[in-house]
Amino acid sequence: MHQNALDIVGQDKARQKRLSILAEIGCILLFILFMMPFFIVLLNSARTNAEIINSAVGMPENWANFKENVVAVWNNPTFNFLKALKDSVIITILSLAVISVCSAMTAWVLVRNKTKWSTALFMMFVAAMVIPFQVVMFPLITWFKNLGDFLHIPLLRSHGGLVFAYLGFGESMTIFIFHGFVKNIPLEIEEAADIDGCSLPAAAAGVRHRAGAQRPVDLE
Amino acid sequence: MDNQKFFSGRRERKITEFLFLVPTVLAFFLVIIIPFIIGIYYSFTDWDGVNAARNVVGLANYKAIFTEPGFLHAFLTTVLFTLFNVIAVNVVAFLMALLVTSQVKGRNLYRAGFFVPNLIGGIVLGSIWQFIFSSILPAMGKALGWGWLSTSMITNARTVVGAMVTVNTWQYAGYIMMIYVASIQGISQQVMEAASVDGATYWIRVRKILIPLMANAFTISLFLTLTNSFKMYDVNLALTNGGPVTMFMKTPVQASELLALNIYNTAFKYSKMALGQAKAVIFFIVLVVVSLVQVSINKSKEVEM
Repeated sequence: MHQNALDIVGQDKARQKRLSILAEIGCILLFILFMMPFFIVLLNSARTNAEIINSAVGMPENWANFKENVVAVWNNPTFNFLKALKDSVIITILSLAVISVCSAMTAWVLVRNKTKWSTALFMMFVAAMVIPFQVVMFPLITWFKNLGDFLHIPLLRSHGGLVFAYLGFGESMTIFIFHGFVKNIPLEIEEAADIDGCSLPAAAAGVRHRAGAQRPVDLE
Repeated sequence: MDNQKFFSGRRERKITEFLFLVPTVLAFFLVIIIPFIIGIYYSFTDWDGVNAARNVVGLANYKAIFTEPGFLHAFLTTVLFTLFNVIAVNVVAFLMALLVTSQVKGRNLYRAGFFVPNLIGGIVLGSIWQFIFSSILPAMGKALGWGWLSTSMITNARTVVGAMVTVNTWQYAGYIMMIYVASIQGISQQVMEAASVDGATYWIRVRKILIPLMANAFTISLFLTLTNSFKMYDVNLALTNGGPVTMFMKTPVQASELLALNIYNTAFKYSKMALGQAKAVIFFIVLVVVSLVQVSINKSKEVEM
C-alpha cells in the first residue's frame, strides 16, 4: 500500500516535469507570436517604401533610414505629430485624474451610505456600461453644442469638453471597480481616522490607478 | 459606533457625501442619460443630421431597418463574429492564464508580453494587421507554396471575419488573461495540493476544481468579451472598413461591416441620422437582452467555497 502511494507520487512527478516543459514551450511560442507584429513594425519603420513594396518581410538594408523616417514624421506639417502627441498626453492625464478621483469619491459614498437611493444609483451606473457609444454618439454632439452655446463654454473641440465626456463614459466601469475595493476596506479604519482628527474621509486611501489606460480618441 | 455619527456630525457628513456624488452624477446625466433620451426621440423622426427641420414619422425608421439587407447582414455578421470571438478570446486567455500561473521561468515577462497589445489603440492595431494580412501572409504563402495563404484573408468575404477574430484575440486575450490570473491566484493552493495527493491529474484538477471555483471570473470575462465584441468598431474600421462586397438577399452588401460601423456609416456617410439612431436603439436593446441572459446563466453556475 505504502509502496503504491509512492509510485503514484513518482509518476506524478514525471508527468509534472513533462507538463512544465510543455508549458515552457507554449509560453515561448505564444510570446513570439504576440511580439511578431511589433517586430515587423520596427523592421518596416527602418525600411524605404521601395523595399517594402519589393518584399513585405525582410531586414532593413540600412538602419540609418530609421532615423530618417522618424525625423520625416516628426517634421511633417500635415501630421503635426508633436501637437497630436501633446494633446493625447494632456487629455490622458487630465481624464485619468478626473475619472479616478471622482469615481473613487462616488464609490465611497455608494458603499458607506446604505440607502435605497445609493443602491439604485449604483445599479444605474452598472446598467450604463451596456449602453453602446453609438447610441449616444449623434445626440451627444448636438446636445453638447447647444449646451455649450447656452453656458458659453466650448464643449466641442476643446480639451475640457472631451475630458468631461470621458468622465461620463469612463466612470461607470471605474465606479464598479472602486466599489469592490472600498467594500474591502474595513470601516474601523475610517472611524479611527475620525477619532484621530482626520477631516477628509479616508476613501482616498482606496484610490488606485484604474487598470487600463484611457485611450485618446477625438470626439470632434 | 453608529455609521452616521462619525466625521463631525451628521449634517457635515451629508454635505460631504452630496459633494462627492455631484461630479459623477452630473457627468453621467449630461453625457449619457440626456443624449440617450434625445437619441430615442430622434429615432422616431426623419432628421438627416444636417437640416434643422425634422418631422416625427413614428415607427417608419424601425420598419425600414428590418427590410434593409445591409443592416440584417451586419447584424448576422456581428452575431457570428461575437460567437467566434468570445470563444477564441476566452479559450486563449484561459490557457495563457494557466501558463503564466504555472512554475514557468520568466512568467512575469510573459504576462507583460501578452498584455502589451492591449495598450495600443484599435486604430493602430488595425493598420498593423492590415499590412500583415495584405502583404506579409500572402508573401509567406507564396514563398512556402501554400495556396490558401497566398490570397489575402481580408479581401475574401468568407475569411474576413476570421481575420477580425484573430486580431481581436491578439489584442484582447491579454486583458482577459489578467482577470483569470487574479482569480487563479485567489484560489488556495492547499485545495489543489490536496487533490493532487488524492491522485487527481493536472487536467482533472483544472476541470473539477479550478474552473468551478473561477466561475465568478468567467462571468466577468464573458460579459466583457460579449459586450466588447458586439460593440467592436475601431478594429473593424482600420482593418477592413467594411471589407469586400458580397451578395446578400440579392443586394450587394459589405461583407465585414459590423453593427457599430453600419450605424456610423448610415448616419454620417449616407446622412441618415434618424435611421442610424433607430438602428442604435435596436442595437442597445439586443445588447441588453444578450448580456442579461449571459450574466444570469453564468451567475447560476457560480459556487461558494
